[in-house]
Amino acid sequence: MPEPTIVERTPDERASLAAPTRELKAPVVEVTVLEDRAHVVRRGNVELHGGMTRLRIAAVAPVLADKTLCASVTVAGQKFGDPSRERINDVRVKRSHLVRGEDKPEQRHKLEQELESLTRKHDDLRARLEQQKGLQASLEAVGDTTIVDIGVDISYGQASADAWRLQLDQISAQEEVVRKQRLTLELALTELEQDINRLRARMAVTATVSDQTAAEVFVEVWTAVPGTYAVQVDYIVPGACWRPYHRAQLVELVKGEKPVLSFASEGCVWQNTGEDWTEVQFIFSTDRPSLGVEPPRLATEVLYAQRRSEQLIVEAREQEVQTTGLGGETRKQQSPDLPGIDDGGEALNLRAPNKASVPSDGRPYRVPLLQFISPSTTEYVLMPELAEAVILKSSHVNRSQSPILAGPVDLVRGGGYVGRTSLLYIAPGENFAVGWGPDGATRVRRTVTTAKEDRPMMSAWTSQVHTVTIQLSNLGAQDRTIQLSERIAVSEIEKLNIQVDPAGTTDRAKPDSNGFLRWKVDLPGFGRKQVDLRFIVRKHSDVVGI
Amino acid sequence: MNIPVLGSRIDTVTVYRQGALVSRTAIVLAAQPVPAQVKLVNLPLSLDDGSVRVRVEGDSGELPVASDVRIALDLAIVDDTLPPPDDEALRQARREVTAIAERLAHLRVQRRRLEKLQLFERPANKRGAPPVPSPVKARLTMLDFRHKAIAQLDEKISEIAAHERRALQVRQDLEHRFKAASKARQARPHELRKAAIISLRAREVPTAPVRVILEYMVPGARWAPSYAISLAKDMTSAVVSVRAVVAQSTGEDWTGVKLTLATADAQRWTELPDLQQIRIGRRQPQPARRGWRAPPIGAGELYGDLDRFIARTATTPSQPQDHERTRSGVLYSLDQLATLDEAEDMPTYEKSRRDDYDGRPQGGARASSAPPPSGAPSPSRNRMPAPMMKPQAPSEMLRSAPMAAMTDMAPAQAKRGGGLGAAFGAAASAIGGMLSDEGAGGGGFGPGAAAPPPPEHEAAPDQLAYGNLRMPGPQDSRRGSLIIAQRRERYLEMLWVREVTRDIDVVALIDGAVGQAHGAGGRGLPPRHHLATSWAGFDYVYAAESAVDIPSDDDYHGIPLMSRPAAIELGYIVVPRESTDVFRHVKLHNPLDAPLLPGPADIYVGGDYLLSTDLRTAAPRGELKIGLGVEQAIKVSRNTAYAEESTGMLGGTLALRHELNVEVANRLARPISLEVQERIPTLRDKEDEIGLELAQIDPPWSAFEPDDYSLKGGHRWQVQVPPGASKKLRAVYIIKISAKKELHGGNRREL
Repeated sequence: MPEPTIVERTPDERASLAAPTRELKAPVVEVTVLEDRAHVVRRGNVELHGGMTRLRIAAVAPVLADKTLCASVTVAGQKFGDPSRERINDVRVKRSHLVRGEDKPEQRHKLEQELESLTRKHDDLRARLEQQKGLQASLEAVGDTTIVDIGVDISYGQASADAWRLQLDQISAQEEVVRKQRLTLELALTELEQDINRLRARMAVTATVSDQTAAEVFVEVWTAVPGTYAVQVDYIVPGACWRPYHRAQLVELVKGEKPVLSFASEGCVWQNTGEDWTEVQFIFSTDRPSLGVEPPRLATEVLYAQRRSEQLIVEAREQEVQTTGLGGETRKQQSPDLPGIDDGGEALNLRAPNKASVPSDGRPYRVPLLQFISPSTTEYVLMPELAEAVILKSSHVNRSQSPILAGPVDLVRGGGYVGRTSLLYIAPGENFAVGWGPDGATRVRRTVTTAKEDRPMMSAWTSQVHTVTIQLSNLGAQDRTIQLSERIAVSEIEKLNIQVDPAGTTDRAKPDSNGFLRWKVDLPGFGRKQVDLRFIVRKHSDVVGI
Repeated sequence: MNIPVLGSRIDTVTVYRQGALVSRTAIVLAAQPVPAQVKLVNLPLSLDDGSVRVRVEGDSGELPVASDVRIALDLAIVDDTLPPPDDEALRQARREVTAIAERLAHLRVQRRRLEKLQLFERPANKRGAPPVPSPVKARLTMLDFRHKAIAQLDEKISEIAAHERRALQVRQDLEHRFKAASKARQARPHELRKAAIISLRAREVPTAPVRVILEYMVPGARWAPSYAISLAKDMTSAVVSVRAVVAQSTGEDWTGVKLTLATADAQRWTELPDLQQIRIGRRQPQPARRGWRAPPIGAGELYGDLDRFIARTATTPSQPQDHERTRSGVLYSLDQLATLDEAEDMPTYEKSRRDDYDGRPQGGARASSAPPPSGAPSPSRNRMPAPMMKPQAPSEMLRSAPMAAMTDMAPAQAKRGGGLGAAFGAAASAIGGMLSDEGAGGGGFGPGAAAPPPPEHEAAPDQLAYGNLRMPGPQDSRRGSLIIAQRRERYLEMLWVREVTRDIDVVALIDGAVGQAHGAGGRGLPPRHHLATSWAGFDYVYAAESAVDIPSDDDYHGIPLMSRPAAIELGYIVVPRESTDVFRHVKLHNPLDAPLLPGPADIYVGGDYLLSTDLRTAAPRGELKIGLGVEQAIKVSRNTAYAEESTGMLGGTLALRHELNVEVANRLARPISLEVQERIPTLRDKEDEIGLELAQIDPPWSAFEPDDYSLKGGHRWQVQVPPGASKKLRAVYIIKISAKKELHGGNRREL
């Protein structure tokens, strides 16, 4: 992006006010999205007469940070400006409240109109209901008075029961009509109130900042000669971010052949800044302007001595075998906010190959970034100690020029979405594996039995037999070949000895130097297999902690 | 945006021990461009969103790819084949009840009015004139009138009260029927269902129809096996019919589906695990994994300009009345709902943030009542990642900047009362607590221990569902960073698009549907049935051979699965020691590659029902014994003889000779194979006072160790008896003891 010209602010406000104000159509053309903010560039061409002109760009994101607002001007078609011929005098943002419905965005305006009409209807109904209620009360009063009148008539000796009946019937007939109308109105009112509540709920959830606040940018340009000039305004907005989102697809290029992996990375963009980005060039950056400027501090470490222990306290620990790209079991830190993306120490700027649109609604939108195809080998793997499920695993190489950044991966196989997994940072050329979820047709059960500790007389050594049984069931008709891995601990101390008992172990399998035992299990359709592992732990009585 | 709807039907259902996997098929027509998104509707509310999978199948060319699937709520599509909705009738009935009540109230008002009819004194006479004659007649007429009118009204009232009772009954009846009806009755227009929105990517127009297959899990379906075993009249062969009872209450009927029953549990999504080696011994540094880093901070400050503008201008009462109403009225209740949702959606880490979220005044009035202190970042953005980020380096900056800011702020805010100040005080002390914890932790680590490695950052699984993340607007308290959308909001997404928002608590609705589905079959299994379980650690499937129907009504429905001819051997068992009744049984060879699981079996012989029995588990291709009752035509008798002799030198030993004679007579027209079970006494371990020897066994017998109970000294004869013939069996055993001793309980052991 071209360097914006430094803004010179004129102290004379009146001069700038005197300059004619003209509308500038400067749409958003380029957005650099960072981990928690975005740099927005607007550009537009304008015919200028020469001298001072005040340009107005309407409908700018109201959340923009004022101090990051910059503007530059060049002769249209030229790359660099010449401050002696054209320059920016001032650039500033002006925010205003939106009160009148007509000023508001169209969708909001429509909703408000609907609410208005419903409210009016509601008020109307309520008024009519009040009227009916009043009428009913009056009729009741008439009835009561009539009763009193009848009493008075009687005291004057008038005895006309038919007339009384007629009068009372008249009143009750009218009452009945009024009551019925009241009931109808009440029902209608209840329904209308429900409608209004629904509408209000909808308005509440679709409310955006641009409904109430508008921002416009004023740019004062001075030009020596008339002509067409390109004006660029750029600023930084919060409320926008991106994260990498991947899609892994296993494709059989030739039917029946080994599938290849088609891997696509997309930038997933969210923004709720109040302005829509329509057909803009996206640049995704892992640059972090918010990264601290101070180096970290060191902590003091004081040494203490203590009596040497007679016992040997051992600690079993998980040692990750170096495989790339697969998640490890180290101390994990989860924070309420989505963590940032590790770029391997080098800030990346990834340019989207195509323009894309992201409206300001806070929802995720995916912008294609890069794509590569890698040969793949697939196998069914089973590590029953960690997961009692046979998992389809495919191994690949990152064939792209840029690293694969950490993020979720949508898995597509057999032409359909099968699930989601995630990847960590994978450098170009690095190997990585993708888990495609459990195989629905196989079931695994692993049982571990530990025998009682056995300690011969007069010996300092105890031994214990551990038996692991893995039972595999194939519920489907297809054959499966499963790579089964088990592990035993590897002892690095003399007083502890862990050995596999070949007699009690399927295929007399032997562990490798890292303690892994592997079997290749062929499981026919609807078939069942059992794999056993028996190992003996011998330890000296000095050893504690295992 | 109008997404085309694809009609779909359920093809196959796999019922696991709990829950079922349902597979639906929809067809995308050939020779038409494939739409970018399609929708499958009428999915049950109870479906598990995370279990949804899509597959595309077809016969021609390059198939479209279903790249994404989302679950939303949609209105159910009316299906005319199901019974009509009774909702309108119910509403009519309710209205009727209201109208009658109104009429009754009116009549009561009239009656009260008549009761008020009273007598007045006759009017005072004019001065000097005689008094007006007492209006007795008129008064009597009045009394008569009042009496009659009230009686008339009473009659009407009682008539209408009867109406009311009837109307109430109608309403109750409708309400009852409404509840009792199948959950999958024709959807009422406003009834909500789930819908799957599938994104399709196609490069070419398909030349043949393409099948889109959607699979999802529904909770709570269960099954238990039962059997029908038909034995041929001549007892030479049998047919084993495996049946099952299946219950489901998922909210959709399974009609004409291919059903598979599995003894396994349903499978959940599992990530590829990483098996690491375990080392016991020297410590080695942990290799660092890269991927995530601390969340970015500081974006909140960028909102400062907008906040200042709002704070500056909100003091002028320029907000229209209308806005106040919208905001304070409905938003409030929505926020309450949101808070409820949140409590359930984000259990732990959101707590601290919710404090200040709740403390903040709601809506548009917020700015005027509590303008944020100018210059300072908006209070809600005082996030706490900093201390958590670098626990090993609780630097000066940490202690000074945010804490000081917070503690300074707290008294100032407290003046404004309650919410904000309190929230900040709490937040500040929480941080203080964290810091001191950190110190204690460091000390406790002990001398010599190396500092723990810096923690690795990790994205929680919820946070990786990017489709559910939302960027809140600048007026939200959690603005500037992504938040996880409420379930409610996510589900309602579709409805907004269609502009049919409804005030239904969708989360409760869905949870209710899931709870209902889980409770399927809660009324209990039919007698003697057992829910299916794995056999010996392995899991099996049983597929129904024909399409079956199972309505979603919470009850168990019997369905046939398969029938297989099985070889049988007819056999007879007698235990003459206990009873001379001969028990008939068949030894059935399990014709399946799967076990026969425990369950009730109906036994038919030559098409006639004989009896019901409980089947024990039979291994795949294994044997199973089924008892058929007593056979009267085989006669067995058992006689014993006993003799006591002195043997040995000087007659110091006593020999107790027991003789068993069993005679079997076959009165049937065919030869039989009879097993005669006997038992003789046994000795304790290391018994040296008693001797036991078998003297004579004719014909020879074999040891008998029953499977289902423990027995020592069991023996059995296997004898073939031709029709009309009889056979004698003889066994003699001798117990030897010292002549000075006797057996506890008597020397004679057989009666």
